[in-house]
Amino acid sequence: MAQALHLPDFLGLKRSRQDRASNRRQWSEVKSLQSPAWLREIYDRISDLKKLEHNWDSYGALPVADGAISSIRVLLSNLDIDDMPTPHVAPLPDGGVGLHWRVGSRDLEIEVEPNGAAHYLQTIVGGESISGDPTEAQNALDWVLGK
Amino acid sequence: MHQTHHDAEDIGDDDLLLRRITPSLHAAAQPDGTRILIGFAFRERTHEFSMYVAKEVTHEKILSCGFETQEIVEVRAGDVRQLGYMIVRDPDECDNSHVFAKALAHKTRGQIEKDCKALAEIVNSRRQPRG
Repeated sequence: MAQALHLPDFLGLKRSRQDRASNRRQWSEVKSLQSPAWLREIYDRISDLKKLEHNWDSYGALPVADGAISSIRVLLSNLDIDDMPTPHVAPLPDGGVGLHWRVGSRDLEIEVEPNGAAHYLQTIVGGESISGDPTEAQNALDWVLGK
Repeated sequence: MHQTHHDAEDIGDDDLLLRRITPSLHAAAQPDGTRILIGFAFRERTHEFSMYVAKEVTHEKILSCGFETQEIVEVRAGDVRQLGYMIVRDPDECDNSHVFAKALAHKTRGQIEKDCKALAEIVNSRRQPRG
């Protein structure tokens, strides 16, 4: 006589519908690794900055610091950038890394220092500049898009 | 050792100052195909950015001291002074026309960032760097 095979609930298959709904509320939205399309390319460009040697700007610049590279990757991964155009990636002479966006007359530079400290500068072209810290970076990105 | 710097009075506000930049790193491509200089192009480790006095040297000489991938951008001495800097003569191994911009009073990193951005926008308003 056939018997039902009893499997342990390794995968939590027996969780109730109510539990699954609860989990959906607890976890943030899943982001695709492919989104946005430029992100992987930008990560590669950031990594390429490590190839720059001392004096890469002919004015005595330092090589880009590992701490700046890892910090700007973390920063990017924590921002909602799905709608953003591709930023320009630039090294900084003290070993930091910068990102630059311009949409119309709205301009944003985010920079990460060699020690990982980050800040940004938002500018209306032909007008004033405002600087801020990374806790406001998402607002600055939204501002560039005119949101 | 404390060193006193002086604004070079023989460099007039209308005199052009030359700076080497690396377009592939510091000129950002725009959707319309143009490239704009970004503020990072004026940044330096020391926060005192180097330039050369145009009336005293050729572009070729300045480029010969850098890399093949570099080109020259120009700003007026008056533009730099208006942002709160003096133009200090500092002959270097490349040319005697070398100067650097020194802040008249202490500036934070953020203030220097804004100043460099302002200089880049002055360059952008006068020319479109090739990249």
